[in-house]
Amino acid sequence: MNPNIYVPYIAEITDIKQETGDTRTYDVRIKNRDEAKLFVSRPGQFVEASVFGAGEAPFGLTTSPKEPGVMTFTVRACGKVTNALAELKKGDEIGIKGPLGNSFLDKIDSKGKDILVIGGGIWLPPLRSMIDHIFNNRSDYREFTILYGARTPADRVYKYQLSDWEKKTDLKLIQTVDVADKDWTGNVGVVTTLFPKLKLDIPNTVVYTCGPPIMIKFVIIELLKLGLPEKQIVSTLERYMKCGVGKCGHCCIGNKYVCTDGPVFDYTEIKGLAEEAF
Amino acid sequence: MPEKTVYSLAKAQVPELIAKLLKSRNEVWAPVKGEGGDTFLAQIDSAKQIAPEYVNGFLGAKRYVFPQLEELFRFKKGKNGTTLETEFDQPRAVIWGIRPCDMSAVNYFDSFFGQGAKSGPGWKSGDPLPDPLYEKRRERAVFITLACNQAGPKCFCVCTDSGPFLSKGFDIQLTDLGTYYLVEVGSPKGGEFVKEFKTLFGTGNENDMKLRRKLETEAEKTFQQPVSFFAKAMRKLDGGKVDQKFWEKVAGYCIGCGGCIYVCPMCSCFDVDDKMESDTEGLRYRAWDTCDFAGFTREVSGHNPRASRADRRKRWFYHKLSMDYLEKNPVIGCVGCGRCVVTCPGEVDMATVVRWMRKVE
Ligand SMILES: Cc1cc2nc3c(=O)[nH]c(=O)nc-3n(C[C@H](O)[C@H](O)[C@H](O)COP(=O)(O)OP(=O)(O)OC[C@H]3O[C@@H](n4cnc5c(N)ncnc54)[C@H](O)[C@@H]3O)c2cc1C
Ligand code: SF4
Ligand code: SF4
Ligand code: FES
Repeated sequence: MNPNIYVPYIAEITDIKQETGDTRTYDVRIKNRDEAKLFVSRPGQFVEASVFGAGEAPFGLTTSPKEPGVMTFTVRACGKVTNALAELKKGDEIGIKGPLGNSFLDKIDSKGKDILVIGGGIWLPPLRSMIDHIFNNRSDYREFTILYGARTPADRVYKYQLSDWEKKTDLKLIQTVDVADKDWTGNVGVVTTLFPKLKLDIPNTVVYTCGPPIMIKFVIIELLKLGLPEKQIVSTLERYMKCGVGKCGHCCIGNKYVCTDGPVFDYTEIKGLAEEAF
Repeated sequence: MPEKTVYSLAKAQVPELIAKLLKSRNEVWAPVKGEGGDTFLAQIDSAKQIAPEYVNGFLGAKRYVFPQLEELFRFKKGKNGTTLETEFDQPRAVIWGIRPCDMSAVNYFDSFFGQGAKSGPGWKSGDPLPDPLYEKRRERAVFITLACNQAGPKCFCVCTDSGPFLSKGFDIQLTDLGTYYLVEVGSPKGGEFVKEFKTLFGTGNENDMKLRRKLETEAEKTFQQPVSFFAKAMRKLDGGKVDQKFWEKVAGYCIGCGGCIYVCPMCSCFDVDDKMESDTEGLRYRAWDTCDFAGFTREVSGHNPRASRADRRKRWFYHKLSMDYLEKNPVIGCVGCGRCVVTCPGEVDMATVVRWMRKVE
């Protein structure tokens, strides 16, 4: 990262994909070669992306990086910075600060374990960096299951990828929506309604989850009921962030800074904080 | 430890020293009296402006080390892309006559802004993430504190180990001995300062140090705000004895003005935003912000993890008093300056709430 923690690198948008009505995926490359070399991310990390004049906001990186200085993130337009990002086109410049935060890999070593990924809505992108990592090192892991829930079929991101994943033999993807449309043949109901369909090897399963606070809350309750050890429940947390580097105070939960202690936590770190984490 | 070198400075020499500083430094800051009678730290252009007698004023040293509004960088959008201007000249400064509590708060800021958690590759766990703006400003300033021979009516630094005299953490500490100050040097920077103006400083002696120790003991007896219950209050807080009802009671008196936080020399939270100054040029700045405001944590979805004022009040006291935080940085988040006691319209300041907390069953 840049030695001045507040200063972003100048980066270029190299591609944009429309995911849903308000959500787009951006491929981004840091322009200066020497600076690009400094940017090597790990799954779970995030960046602060700037639209100069509108400000900066945090976004989870969605791929396991193939080369330094290159990244992908998915953004839902819903406020000042995200709406400004939605106005941009291929070739436009933005600022990138990062990579920031810790990684899924900093938590429990899940090699040789069954992997269960549970994502909700727009919260699938940060998990995809870990999913990517698992695919890249598939033989290190055993059973691999992804549960993905969204409000409606149209709200799902990465639809092109989801249909690829469905065809894979070394991955079981189960999707669910709160409200179906006429073409939906899958499950209807919140993501925890999928749990009874799973045959879990409880002591040997590591769960990675990310979703809206209410989803994480119920997912964890159900996992604990099933007897999953606390260390094996790994979740990313989200808080309104300003600086991303542990100074502005916005992202604190209890004594944890989501931006620098997280965004990835295991359940032993989340429970018993002075404030509810979700 | 080698015996501390002490000097003396006649009060009559102060105007000359300040005049010299105004020539050799870019900025001199000192406590001044405003029109309404309040004291505050401000940039001066003559020794005449320095308030001779004062309790630590509103907006102390925080105003200098962590300005309320500060540019982080500038940007310019041109035909060949965006360029950033990230280097600012940081003036050389002397901060004159701040109180020990404020100096203690700066020392805490040093560890907070100067260090911080790690992030990113190449950063090993525990490596510092220093704030470059803070560090530079701090490096280029000499801090001269004035020990308190008499505590202010709302002060309780004696309970937080941050006054009324300091034994370390300053560049220079002055003690008022009537017609002159005893000058203690607390850092190499302080030593160089005395050397630079050696014609104005006299030698100090062991008698002056004896007198200083006596004054310190006497000053410790002048506190009127009885808040020596921190340890007990903290034990109750961490022991889970302070429940939601307690915070609802505190919140019932709080009008959410954020005043306690803006005046607190230990509060460091800020907001970040951009401002355009023309079609092509603008800047990113930070500005003081507080965990007391609902918007501080409200997410774009509308979800707010700290929606109630009780939750936000709890947050403020928790951050300052909980052992969880002390593990991160081993000082409590209060230096007993008493500013929140003076400021809070609802009288639910640190002193009051600590007293209430100590009494919970
Ligand atoms: C670690 C992390 C990773 C993230 N990853 C992603 C990601 O991959 N993709 C993604 O799309 N998002 C992600 N987010 C969320 C994203 O950062 C926010 O959506 C974004 O910061 C919004 O910024 P903005 O400037 O557009 O919104 P702003 O204009 O800053 O709006 C946010 C603020 O405006 C106010 N506000 C706006 N609307 C309302 C309302 N309806 N009710 C009340 N107050 C309101 C609130 O103060 C709110 O906090 C992530 C967040 C974190 C912390
Ligand atoms: S909490 Fe109150 S008394 Fe303590 S340092 Fe802050 S303003 Fe001063
Ligand atoms: S000064 Fe008093 S009323 Fe204002 S926010 Fe602080 S506690 Fe509340
Ligand atoms: S986002 Fe500023 S401290 Fe975490």
